[in-house]
Amino acid sequence: MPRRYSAIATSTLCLAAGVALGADIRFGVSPRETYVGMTVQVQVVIDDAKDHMAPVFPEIDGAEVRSAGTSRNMTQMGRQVSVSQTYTYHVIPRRAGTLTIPSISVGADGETFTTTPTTIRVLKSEKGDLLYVQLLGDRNVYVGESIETTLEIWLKPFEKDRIRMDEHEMWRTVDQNNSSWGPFSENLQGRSPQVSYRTEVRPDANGKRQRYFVYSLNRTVWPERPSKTFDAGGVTVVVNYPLAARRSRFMLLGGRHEVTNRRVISTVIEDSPITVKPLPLAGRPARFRGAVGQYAIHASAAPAEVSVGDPITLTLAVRGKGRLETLRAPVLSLQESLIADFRVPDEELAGVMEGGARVFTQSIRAKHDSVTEVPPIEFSFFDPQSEAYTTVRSSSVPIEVKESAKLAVSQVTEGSAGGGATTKLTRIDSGLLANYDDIEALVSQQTLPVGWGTWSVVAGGPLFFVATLLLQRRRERLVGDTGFARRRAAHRTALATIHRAGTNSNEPLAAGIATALTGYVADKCNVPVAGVTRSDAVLQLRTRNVPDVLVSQVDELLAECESAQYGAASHADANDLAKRAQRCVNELERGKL
Amino acid sequence: MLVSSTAAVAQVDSGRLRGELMVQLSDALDAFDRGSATMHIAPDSALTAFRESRDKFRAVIDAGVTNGQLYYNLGNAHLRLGELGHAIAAYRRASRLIPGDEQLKANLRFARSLTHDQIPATGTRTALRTVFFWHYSLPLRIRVTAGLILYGLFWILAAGRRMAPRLPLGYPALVCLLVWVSLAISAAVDLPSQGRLRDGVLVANDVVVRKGNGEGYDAQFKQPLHEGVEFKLIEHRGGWMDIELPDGNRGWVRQRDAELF
Repeated sequence: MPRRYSAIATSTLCLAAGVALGADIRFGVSPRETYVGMTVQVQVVIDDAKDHMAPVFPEIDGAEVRSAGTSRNMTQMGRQVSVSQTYTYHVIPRRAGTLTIPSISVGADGETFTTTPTTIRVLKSEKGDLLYVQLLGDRNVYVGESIETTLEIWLKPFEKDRIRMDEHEMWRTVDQNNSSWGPFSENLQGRSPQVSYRTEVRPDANGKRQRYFVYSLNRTVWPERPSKTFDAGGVTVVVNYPLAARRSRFMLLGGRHEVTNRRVISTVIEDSPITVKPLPLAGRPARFRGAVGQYAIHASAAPAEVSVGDPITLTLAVRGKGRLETLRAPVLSLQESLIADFRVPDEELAGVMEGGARVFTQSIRAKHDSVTEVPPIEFSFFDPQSEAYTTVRSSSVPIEVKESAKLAVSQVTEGSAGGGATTKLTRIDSGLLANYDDIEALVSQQTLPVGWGTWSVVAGGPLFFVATLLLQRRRERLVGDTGFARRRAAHRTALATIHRAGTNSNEPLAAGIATALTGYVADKCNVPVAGVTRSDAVLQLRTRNVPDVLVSQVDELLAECESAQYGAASHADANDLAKRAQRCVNELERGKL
Repeated sequence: MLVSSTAAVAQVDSGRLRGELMVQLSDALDAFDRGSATMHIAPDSALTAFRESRDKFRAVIDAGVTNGQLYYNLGNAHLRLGELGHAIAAYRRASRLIPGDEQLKANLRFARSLTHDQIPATGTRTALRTVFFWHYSLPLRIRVTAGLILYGLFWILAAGRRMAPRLPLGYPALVCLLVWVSLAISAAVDLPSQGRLRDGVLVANDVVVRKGNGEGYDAQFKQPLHEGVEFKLIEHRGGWMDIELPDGNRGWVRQRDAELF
């Protein structure tokens, strides 16, 4: 069931927000008031449609409609992704008055959406005698015939209040983006536009002679359809004509004058002497493929000696005066003399430009061994000079075809010969290869992997090696030097012995502490534990320059331990002894005994 | 070029922008296919399509995406528009990222074959390219990554040799060291020029190469040069550039007549 949506037409494009659920259509027109020749943009936006048909834009009387492309837009809000497809059209009014954009129908998700007609006011551009556009070229031409054309833009120089704009400043007033240049857009590509200028004088509407800058754009064009007055695809020139200007404050950086007020004027080609005639139907050969001009065809074949069924590469080179770049190949399957003796594929040949000729290659295969030549290949074109269709022929190409070699039994059984004769393909090295189309890969970054990982590897390598080196040295020392192992374990052993003595009720605590202290000194000094007495321990400590205070503490501790072993010591005294012994061992350890 | 700013990379990696860029890419590819389909039937509309394709590829690059295949596609669009110089520049940018790519090599070769001026390279350059083929055929990021792996492996093998002298780890460590040093030198040659414009291509026709940086200087060669001629940038002075052509000849050209990369 059709739904109607009102068109929202404002001076600036205003698109109503769509509903996120289900398909929705938005429609916009901008602007609502315009001048003849100025582009009106119409957008149809299809939101969130799973499936849709492209809008069908109806023809509009008094205006030209051009498709300006489509675009997709994806927006994400949270987890919800919204996809919009926008179809843009340019409507170019060709006469003043009221222009109605009729309903546009769009099919989406099984429904048909229809817009309401929208009216646009088209004003005649009051360009007066400020701007003229004319096209120069041969008067009568045929469709597809090349014409050397010149687009001339006559622009009256701005002169007011002793300010006279020069030809460069006036050219800058031409709005190149909003103008429609047709085939002349090529002249404006790049940094140095191919535009020449001269100064001319012509009478204005009042018969007064006025000075004009005339900008000329030359281009060879090939009309694609017949017309009484060829307009080169609807060229429209838009100019932001100055109304007021002043001397530039930054004369060295930019132009001499800066425009302070302007108005838009536009015009289409007002004068074109070129009439494009259709190609005559009478006498049109069946092999005619649209070529217009004067051509010659040359054929060659390789190899010249083949067996029946072997591929022969037939190369056709078409040269001459005409549009070679778009020339279509002769259809070989329509060449009776060729298909009588050769097997010819049906597909259309793709040609390449080589040395000023359009070159087509095709593989053909002789059907029998009585073939002695590739017959002449015919190529038909329309010659605009003689105004008649002409068919040219290549020379025949002599070849030698032998009987096809019979397969040996062994070849059949082993399958080495395959199903038929091998095809030797001739590769064409010139030509453009296809784009990459994996969008995920195209959008991925190919930057240098320099980050924390890189610096970790750079620093980590030597550190790892040094750590390994230290570990190995330590291991070697532990294995080769038993004294070192005793010294390393002395502190831990002494503390463990003191602790064990405190928890073991069968052994007197004082004896354990004494064993721990003397054992510690023996381990550190690498002497047998059994032989170390109190005086030996003190002597060893003094020999190793242990501070006297610490030596005295050890001596006192050992003395108290001896007393406690032979006298009665309270449990509290014994615990105090253990704590002091621990402190003493710790201090000796800190002193690097 | 390779070391894109972190901010740009982060932007591209953000989901929303990435989605938009993917849509742009899809449109650009569609426009290119549309142009290819109609270039022999309706050349004017094909040119419009190729132009749309080129502009969209360019927009994705301008958004911060650094990708060899993307530059390759941009080069194709330029070539279809007849912008030979810009096409070669895009292919050369791509070749820094994917130097070994066969399609890229073929299209760059094709684009170069279309240039009006075929200037042969000097023997020294050709010899260098032959001897150090790996330097010219491996992308910088591959060389850096491989170098890092070999560097790490060398230290592991060196440590292993200390720990277990009986294992035959000496020669593998030596090989790792030599290859790593080669890759490090190769990367060191390229790294300082990252982000700096050092090569260029002419994008205008009838470019007069002059003996100095101004119109007042005499022409350096009798023949003007045409778009597609590649060069090395020697010096920048105002709006002029001192360039060295593949055959070793030098001269000055206007900056606006060339694209640097």
